[in-house]
Amino acid sequence: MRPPEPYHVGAFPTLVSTWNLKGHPCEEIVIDMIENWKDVGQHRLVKGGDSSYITGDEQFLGDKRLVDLWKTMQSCCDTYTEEAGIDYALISTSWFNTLGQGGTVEAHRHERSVISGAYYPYAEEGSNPLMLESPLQALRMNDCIIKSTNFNRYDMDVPVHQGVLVIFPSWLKHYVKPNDSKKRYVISFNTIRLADRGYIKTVKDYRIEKHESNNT
Amino acid sequence: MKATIPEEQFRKADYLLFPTLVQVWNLEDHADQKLVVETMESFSDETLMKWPVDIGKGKTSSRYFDVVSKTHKTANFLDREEFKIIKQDIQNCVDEYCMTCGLEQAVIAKSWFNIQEEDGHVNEHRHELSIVSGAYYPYCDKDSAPIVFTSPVLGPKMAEVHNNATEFTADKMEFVPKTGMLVLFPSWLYHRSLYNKSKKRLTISFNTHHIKVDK
Repeated sequence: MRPPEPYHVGAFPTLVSTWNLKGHPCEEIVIDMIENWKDVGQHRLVKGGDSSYITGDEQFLGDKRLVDLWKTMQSCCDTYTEEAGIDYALISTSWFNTLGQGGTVEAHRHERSVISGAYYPYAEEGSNPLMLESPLQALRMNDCIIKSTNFNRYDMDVPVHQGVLVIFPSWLKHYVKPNDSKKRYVISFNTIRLADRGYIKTVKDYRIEKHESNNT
Repeated sequence: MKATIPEEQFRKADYLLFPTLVQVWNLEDHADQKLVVETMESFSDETLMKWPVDIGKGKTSSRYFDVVSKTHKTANFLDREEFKIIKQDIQNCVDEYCMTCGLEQAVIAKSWFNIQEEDGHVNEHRHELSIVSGAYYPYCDKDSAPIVFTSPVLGPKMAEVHNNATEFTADKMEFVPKTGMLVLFPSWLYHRSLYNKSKKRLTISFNTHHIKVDK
């Protein structure tokens, strides 16, 4: 007996959204800022590259010159949270990483953040993708996988092109394999619940607050 | 899998990553359905085991009392000779589930039945040592309790407050059983059946294993 076609449910998926922001008015400024930024150093997760993540309270996107970019990204965050059905999240910390040839970022997640983002203002052709790890991998100890499908894959690679913004839940582990290009810039950011903003004075909402920076 | 980034400026693309496949089949018109029900109901209350309270409330053939040997035994209910055809048909569904998931074939191994009356329920559990599990309902009164799956990604969501029910915020997913329904799901997925409001809810549950040692 051949029963009627089954009803499939892809239950409990994880939402990842991408935007193409290539040509954003802040694109040239942000590349110039990254290339001339003084406070860069080594980060334990970043090999073969530099990071502006030094103190853990970075506000790279808080620079006055990047307010329009901040607003664009915040708007993307709002779209993401609405679609996902979670509380609005406000961009909190932000920093950049640069990777050269062979540079990597070890697998990590962003604790104490709601959603996170990665924006690539510059990525040469051949720049390696952002790899997202399946949270279900640990559960599949009995499975014998013979073909990669949407239901069993252990990771997903998001291609990195100039202008791409990726937003994902902060608990999702991610990493970068050894980079094949000479130059790959990424601005990363974390968020807090908008409702918690009152507790954290360093976080600004530039949609309603005036910028305090003297940077021009 | 490689995501495709939209080329147009400011275009957005969504990816629904790492979903868990739950597959529902309709075997309502199966020729052996009546026979299955009759066989289940032929077991006397004395022979069936009652679920311990930490597991739930209901009768099960998972362990039964053999009146001849006067001992408790386990038996694979679907291995009975008269169920050869329906077992094969369920196996065909499991084969398709495995193909859709990209898994090596998994064959039906342990199988048992549960009888739930009013207030019958099964607490949350998963099926260790198995690959794909299934619940086949040869008979269910209207308004029988649903099988409820718990999200496997609930654990990491400690920084989120959910304010809208979407498929991304769902922490539970319910499937209301109907006579003839077969639900297939990964054995690692936690599930339970809520307190039953109907008089009769019959389930055959089963586990599977791979027949090859490695890929």
